Amino acid sequence: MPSHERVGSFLEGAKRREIVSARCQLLHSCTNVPRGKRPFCERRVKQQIEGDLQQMEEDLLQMEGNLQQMEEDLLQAVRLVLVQIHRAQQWPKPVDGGLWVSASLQTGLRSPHTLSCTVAVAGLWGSVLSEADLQDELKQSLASFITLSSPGDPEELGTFTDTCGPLQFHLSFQVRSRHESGKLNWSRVEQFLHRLSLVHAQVEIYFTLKINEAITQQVLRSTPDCRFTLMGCSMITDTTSYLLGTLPVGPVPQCAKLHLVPGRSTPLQLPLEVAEMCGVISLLPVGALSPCVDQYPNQPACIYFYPFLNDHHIFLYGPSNLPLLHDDGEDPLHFLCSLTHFLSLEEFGLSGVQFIENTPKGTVCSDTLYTVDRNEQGDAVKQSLLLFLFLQHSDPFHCQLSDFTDCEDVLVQNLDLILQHNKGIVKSALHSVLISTLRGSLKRKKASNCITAQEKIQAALPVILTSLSSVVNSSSSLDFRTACLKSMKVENTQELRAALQQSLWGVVEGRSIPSRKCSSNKAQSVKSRPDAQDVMVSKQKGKMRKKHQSENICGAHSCPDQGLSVEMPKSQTGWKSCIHKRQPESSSHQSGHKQRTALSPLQAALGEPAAAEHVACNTLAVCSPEQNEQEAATWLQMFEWD
Amino acid sequence: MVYDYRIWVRKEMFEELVEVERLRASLLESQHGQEWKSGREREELTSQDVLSHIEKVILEIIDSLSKGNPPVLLLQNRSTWVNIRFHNTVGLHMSSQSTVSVVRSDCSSSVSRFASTLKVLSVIYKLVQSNSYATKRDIYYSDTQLFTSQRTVDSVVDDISCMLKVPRRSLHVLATSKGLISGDLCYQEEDGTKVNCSSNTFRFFLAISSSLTFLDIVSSAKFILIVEKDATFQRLLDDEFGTSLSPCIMITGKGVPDINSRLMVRKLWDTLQIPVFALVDADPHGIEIMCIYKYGSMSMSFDAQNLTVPSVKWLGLLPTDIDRLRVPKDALVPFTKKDESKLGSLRKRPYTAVQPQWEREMELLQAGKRKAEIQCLTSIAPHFLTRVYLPNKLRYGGWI
Repeated sequence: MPSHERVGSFLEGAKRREIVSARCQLLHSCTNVPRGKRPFCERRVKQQIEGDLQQMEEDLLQMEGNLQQMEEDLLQAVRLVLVQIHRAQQWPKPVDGGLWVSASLQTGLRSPHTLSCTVAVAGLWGSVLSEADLQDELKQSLASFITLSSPGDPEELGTFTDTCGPLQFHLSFQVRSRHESGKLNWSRVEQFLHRLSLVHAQVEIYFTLKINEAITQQVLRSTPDCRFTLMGCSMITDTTSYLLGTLPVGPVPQCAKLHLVPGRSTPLQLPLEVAEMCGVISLLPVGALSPCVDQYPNQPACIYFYPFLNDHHIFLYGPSNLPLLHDDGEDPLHFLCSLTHFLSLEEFGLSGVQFIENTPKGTVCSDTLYTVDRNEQGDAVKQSLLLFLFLQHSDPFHCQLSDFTDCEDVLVQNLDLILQHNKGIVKSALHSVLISTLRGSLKRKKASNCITAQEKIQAALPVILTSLSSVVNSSSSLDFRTACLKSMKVENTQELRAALQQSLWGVVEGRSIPSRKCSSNKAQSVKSRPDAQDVMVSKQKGKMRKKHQSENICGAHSCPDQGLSVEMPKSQTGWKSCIHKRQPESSSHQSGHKQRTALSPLQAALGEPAAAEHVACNTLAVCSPEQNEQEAATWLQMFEWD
Repeated sequence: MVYDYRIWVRKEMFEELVEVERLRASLLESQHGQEWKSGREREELTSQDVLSHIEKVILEIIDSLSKGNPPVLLLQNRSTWVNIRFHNTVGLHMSSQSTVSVVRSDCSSSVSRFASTLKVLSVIYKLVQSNSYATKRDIYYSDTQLFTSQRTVDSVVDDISCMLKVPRRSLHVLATSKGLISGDLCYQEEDGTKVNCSSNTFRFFLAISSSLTFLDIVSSAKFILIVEKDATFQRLLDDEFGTSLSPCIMITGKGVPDINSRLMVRKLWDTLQIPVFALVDADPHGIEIMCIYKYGSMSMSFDAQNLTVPSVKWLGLLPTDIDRLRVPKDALVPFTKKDESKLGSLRKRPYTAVQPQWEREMELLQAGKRKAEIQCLTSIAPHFLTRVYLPNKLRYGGWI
C-alpha cells in the first residue's frame, strides 16, 4: 500500500475508533436505562453518530488544505536549500553530504494534532549554505499558519550528522490542528526526493515519515562506483535505483549499471513572451538504455540482436538540477508529449511510439512516458530508453537567492513555450543523443543487413547439430563412434543428438562478453532477493541509524516466504525503507509483517504474491479502509442486536 | 590421309629451338639434389586418412561440448604475409607455426562460418566414404540459404583443405575449370576417357579437366606457354603458333588462374620436364599472375608443393621490350594508383629478391609509369607477336 494511503487509512481508522469509543459509552449508558426507554436512547446514539461523521467530513476538508500546504512548504524548503547549494558550490567535483527530510504527525483523542517538518543539511556538500539568507527566504515562503519550531527529535538529528558530517543547516516548522486529515499524501515528496537522488548521487537522502509511534524511514544513497559525474551533478548509474519495473529474467545475470550517454549542451533562445528573463538558458540531454544487455549477445532476450525499446522515460530537471514534477491533475508539458511528432523515431527502429498519460504503478515517476507498439519476441528483454533533460540557467548579474528562485520559477512556468520556440534546436540535440545512445544496436542491425544476429544463430545451430550427427551416424569407425558416445556419456546416436543439442544451445546462448563497464554481479544479487526493498515492520524504537545499523535492522528479518535475507549489500543503492513501530507490549510475530509502499514497486513485478498478503495486524497497525468498514459494521450489528 | 600428311609436313617444318633445349637441360640438372619432393614422389593420402582427419575434428568439437565449452574451429590464417615463408624451389608456402583464426560457434559474426564449415565437412566425409565426387557448385546448391554465395563454399573448401592439410582433390570436391589448354598433348583420364589436345583441327582447345587424375600423358612439346589472357590465347591459336614454330602446349587461366589451371601446369612440368614460359602483360597485374603460376599465392600457400612451378620463365612482355621494340607511346597506358600500389607490393614480395632481373624490369616499369598490354605489339605489325616477337624470344633465349 502506498504510504499516503496508509497514512490516510490510519487517520481514518483512528477517527473511527474515536467515534466507536463514544458509541460504546453511549451504549453503556443505554443499557442502564429501563427497557421501555431504550428506543429513545438508540435514536439519540444514531443522531450523535451522524453528527460526528458530518463534523468529521468538514474538519477533514479544512485540515487537508492545511496539510497540503505543509507538503508544498516542505518541498519549497528543500528547493531553496538545493538552489543555494547549487549556486554557491565551488568544488570541481560533487562532494558528499546528507539531506534529511522529516515529517511527523502526532494525533490524539483530546489534544490538538501536530504536524512537524524538518529539513536538515549536513556534510561538506552543504557547507556553502548561508543560513541567515536561507532562513529569511524560508520565513517569507512559509504559509502564515505555519510556525517555526525546534527539531522534533534532536537525537535523530545527531545520528544524521554522525553519518553525514557536521550539520550545516536545519529548519523545523509545524502546524497544529484539532482535526485530522483522511487524505494525507506524501507520495509527491517521495517522488521528488527519489528524482532528486538520481542526480545527487553524492548526497545521502533520508526521508522519515513519523505517525505517532510508527516510523517509515527511507534512505537514498549510492556507492562511489555507481556514480557518473556530469556538469557538476553526480548521477546514479545503478539501474535498480531507477525502479524501472521488472528486471530481466534469464539464465544469466544482467548488467546492473546504467551507461549514461551525455549529449551536447544546446543554448536555447528565449521567446518574446519571456523577454524579461535574463541570462543564458541551455539544454543538456543525456540518454541511457536499461537494462544493459551487452554482455550476453546470444541471449534470446537481448536487445543486442533485436533492438526494440519498451518504454521511454523522460526526466526533466530544472536549473539547480531539481526535478520538475508536474502537479497532480496538471498535464505534462505539451512539448514532451508531442516528441514523437517531430522526432523521426522510425530511423532508430522505434515505430508506434505513443504517449501514455499515467505512469504504471511500481515504476519510477518520470515526466513523460511513451510506449512502443511493436511485435516483440515473447522472451525478449524489454529495454527502456531513459532520456534526461537538464535545463541550465546562468545569470552573472544575479546573486541573491530570491533572484535565482524567481528566474527559475519564470523559466519553469514558461518552459513549454521556450521548448516550442526552440523546437528545431531541441530536436537536433535529442536526435544526436538518441543516435549516440542507440548506436550499438543500430550498428549491429545495419551490419547484419537487417538479419538479426539472433536469427543467424538460430539458423546456424541446427546445421551444426545435423552435420555433427551426420558424420557420427555415417562413420564406420568403431573407435570414433565409441569415443563420441563416451564423451557425451550417452548410449546411442539418438541420445547423442539430444545431448549435443542441449549442450550446443546451452553454451551458445549463455555466451558472455567480458565488459569493463558492465557489472552483472550486482544485478544478480538484486534478482536473487526479490524482497530486497520490502518495508519491514519492527518493534524497535524508531530512530534513524547509521548506515550499518540500518542495514542490520533490515537484515535481522528474513522473508518467511522464501527464506531469503533482505539485507542490502553495501554496494546496493536505491531506496531502503523501514517502518519501526513503538509498541509497549512485545510481539513475537512481527518480523513476518510486511507492508508495501510506493517506494517498493519491484515487489509485484518480481513476483511475491504471498508477501502482499502479509498485512500488519497489530492493534496500532495501519488499517486498510476495508478493515475499518468491517470494524464499524461489526459494531453496528452488535448495536442492532441489542 | 590428307590430314595426316599435313601434320607430317608441319612437323618436318618445326625448327629446333636450341636455347629452349639448353634451358631444359639446365632445369633438369638443377632438379637433382632438391630437398623438396616432386609431385610424383609425394605421398598420396588415402581416403581413410581423410576420413580420420575429419573424425578428429568432429571429436574435438564433441569433446568441447561435453565440457560445456563452445566449440571452435582453428583455421590457419591464409590472408596474412606473416604466415608465409618463401623457398626458392617451392615458392610461397605456409609456415609450420602459422597464426590461426578462431571460428567461434557462439558468436553471431562467425556462427554461420562455423556451420558452413561443418556442413561442408559432413558432405566431404560422405563423398570420400562413397568415393564419389561433387563440384563446389553442387555443395552450394545443397544449402543456398546457409552458404548465401558460391564464394563462401570456395573459401570454406580451401579452409578445410588447409585445416586438414589435405589437397582439395583428395577431398573429392571438384571445381569447374575456367582454364583452356591446346597443343601437343594426349592423356587418359581416370575414367578411361582419352583426350587429345591437338585433335584434328588447327584451332582447337579444351577446358582443363577438373579431375586432374591423368594417365599416360604423351607429348612431344618442347615447351609450355602460359598465356595470361584468353584474347591472346585465341590470337595465338588463330595464327597457328603452336603448329608453326615448335611443338608446344599453350595454357591460359583467363587472368588469375584457378586451381585446376595451376595443377595442370604443375602436372605437365612434373611429367614432361620441359620449360614453362609465361606470356603476360607488362604491367603489375600481369607480373602477379605469372608469380602465382611460379611461386603460388598467399591464400593457397598451404598447398604450394602441388601448385607452384618455380621453373617458370618470364618470356614477355618485358618492360625492356617496350623500349627495345620502340612500341609507340600512344599504345602504352599510364599507371593508375592501383598499379603503383600493386607494383610496390610486388617489389616487397620475398621472391623478388631472388630474381634480380625481374626486379630490374619492375624498376623500369615503375620509373616509366606506363604499362603495356600484349596487344600493343600489333601497333608495330598485325602479326608481330606470333611471327616475330615470340619466335625470336624462343630462338635467342629472350626470357628471364
